[in-house]
Amino acid sequence: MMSGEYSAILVLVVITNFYILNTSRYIISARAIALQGCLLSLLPLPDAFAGSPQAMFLSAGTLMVKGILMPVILIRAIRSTDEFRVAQPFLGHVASVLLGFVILVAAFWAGAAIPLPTRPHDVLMGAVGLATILTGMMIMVNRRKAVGQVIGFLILENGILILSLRISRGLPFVIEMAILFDVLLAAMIFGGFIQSVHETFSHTDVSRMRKLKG
Amino acid sequence: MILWALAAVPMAGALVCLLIPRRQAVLGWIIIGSAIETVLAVIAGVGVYRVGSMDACLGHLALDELSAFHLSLVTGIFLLSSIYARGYFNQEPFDPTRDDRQARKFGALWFSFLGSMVGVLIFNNVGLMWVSMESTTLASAFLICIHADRLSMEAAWKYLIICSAGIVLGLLGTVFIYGASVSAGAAGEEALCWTDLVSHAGQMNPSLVKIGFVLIVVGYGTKIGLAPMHTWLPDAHSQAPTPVSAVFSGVLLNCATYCICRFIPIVAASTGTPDWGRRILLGFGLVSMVVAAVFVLVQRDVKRLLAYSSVEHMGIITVGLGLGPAGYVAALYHTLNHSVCKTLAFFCAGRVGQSYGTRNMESISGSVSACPVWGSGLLAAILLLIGCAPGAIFMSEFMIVRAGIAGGHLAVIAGFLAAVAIVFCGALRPAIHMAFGDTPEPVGALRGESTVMRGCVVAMTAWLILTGMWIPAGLTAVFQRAARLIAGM
Repeated sequence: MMSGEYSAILVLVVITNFYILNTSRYIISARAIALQGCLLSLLPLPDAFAGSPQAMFLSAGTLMVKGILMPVILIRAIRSTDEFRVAQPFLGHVASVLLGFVILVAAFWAGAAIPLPTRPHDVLMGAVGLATILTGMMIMVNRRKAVGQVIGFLILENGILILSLRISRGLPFVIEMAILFDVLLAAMIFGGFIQSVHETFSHTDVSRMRKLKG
Repeated sequence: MILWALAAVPMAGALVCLLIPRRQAVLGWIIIGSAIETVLAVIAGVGVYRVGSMDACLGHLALDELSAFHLSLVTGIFLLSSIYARGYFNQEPFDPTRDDRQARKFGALWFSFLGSMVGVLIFNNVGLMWVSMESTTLASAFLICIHADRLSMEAAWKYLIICSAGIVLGLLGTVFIYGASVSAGAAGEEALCWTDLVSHAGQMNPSLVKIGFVLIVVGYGTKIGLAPMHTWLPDAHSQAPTPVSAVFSGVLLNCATYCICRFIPIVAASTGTPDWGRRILLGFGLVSMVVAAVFVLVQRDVKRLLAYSSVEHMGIITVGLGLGPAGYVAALYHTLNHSVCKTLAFFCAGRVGQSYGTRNMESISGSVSACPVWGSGLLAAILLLIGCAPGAIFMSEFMIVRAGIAGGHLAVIAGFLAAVAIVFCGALRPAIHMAFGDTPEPVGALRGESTVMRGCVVAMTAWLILTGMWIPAGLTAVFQRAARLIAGM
């Protein structure tokens, strides 16, 4: 795979970020997360074609966990709570997209400062990784429902995967697989939790959970 | 061999819990299981101190002086909490209709929690250490809301979200350290093995290591409860069932501190100066102490008071870690003292709270005469926690102050002493109010009192007072040898 296609994948990741910022339905966000997971699973492919079976496994694992299983768990959790829409995020769509642009610019500026670039698309990769991390954080604080925070968390996690590819061509294989397993476990626990919250509170609006203070 | 056994016992324990039909049997089994684990940990620890560090599984599992100390502490406190859990849950059953099922769930999660903490300590690979730390969050979130009421659900959700997001930054930091390790010529899994990281830290790219260390302190610091990432801690500690609060405060926070300790020698060797990393730790430690001191003054819930005291003590330990080799010894000693003392305090506060039917400190008075063992235990524990002499915590705080003055950090020590003084005054008033005064109404009798547990309370108090006056020579050697590892020697 040439570095042009590599850059195209990274740009598509940025587009999914903006898409999630701009949508008001959680199911659609979950599908966008699935798309983002599939895009991420393409990133180790150049190494796989260069003859690394581990990169192949990593790609397959990412596709399985981030592209299929996690979105399925998320969509089931959303269906079980009957709360499909984003109930007034703290910032409106226009403001969040604008903030997304600010984040992107900042990420390009900071991404260029990460030491030791070695490959031609490294600068773009660092910037996209950082932008995805920051977008995930922003979504976590900008959504009222529990599902929204989980979506933000998953985007944050995706950003770290991209940045780890930028810094060191990904972590060692065993660890990368352990992390994937851990993330899958986290998604299952989050899904179970959303259902318990829904059963206990009969809503999942975390901004209304304000009993514990001081 | 023994490392494999240490990893296997919690897993087997969790599976057995799912097969046991009756609640009483589950509560009995968690005592047996954690006792086995404690015995194994102590044997392994003694072996490490006699013969030197051990490893297994091609160097992926390892135990050295630092992790052996923490491992014995973790399993010991866990065993005490398991014994306590039996009496506690007999007084306050889970949900009466689904009692046996909930007990099974509790037991399985309890062992998974133990297993993930043991994993943090025995993995030699800092990547796998991170994975275990993340799984402690996943295993323990449901433990907080085992009663599934609104408040505990809110606390558990907050815990899950804040700690997951925080600890992910720790992963990012680990990635930067890995990048630095690759830049120093390492490759593959060895590039994240702690022993290899330390040996070639001198050749690493310092700017990658610096970014990584800041992220690691913020990430693991969320789990330690360093301010301003501490917001989950008082909620989780106050809403969880008391045995769970005790384990959270007594050992989970230590495990996260242990993770940061592992990166201190790497940063020192890579940046060429030990001061850079230490300044960050001093800053976070002091801020935590000051924030905790302010919040201690306004607490009404006794478990929240103890939770903020944990934030303060984690700040003290972090300041100790920021003061160099003498500070490392003091910080490790303080870790031991805080774990024992905070566990004791939670045990007593939980039982006193059950007896009065409230955790509001204004409604609790005269507990020394109403329930002598737990009431006086609570008074003693709070007095020791705020640093009354002669107590072990007083001694370790004194050692930290001495290390700070010797290192010339006078401003830090001034802030340290001011925060300790504020906490002292803030916690003394409610402690006296709870202990003495008129007992309000007929106080509920406690069921499930066991002589063993009362003996534990007396023994823990005696230990804390005794080691304040005289530290056994063996214990000093333990701290000094563990501190040498943090110093990278």
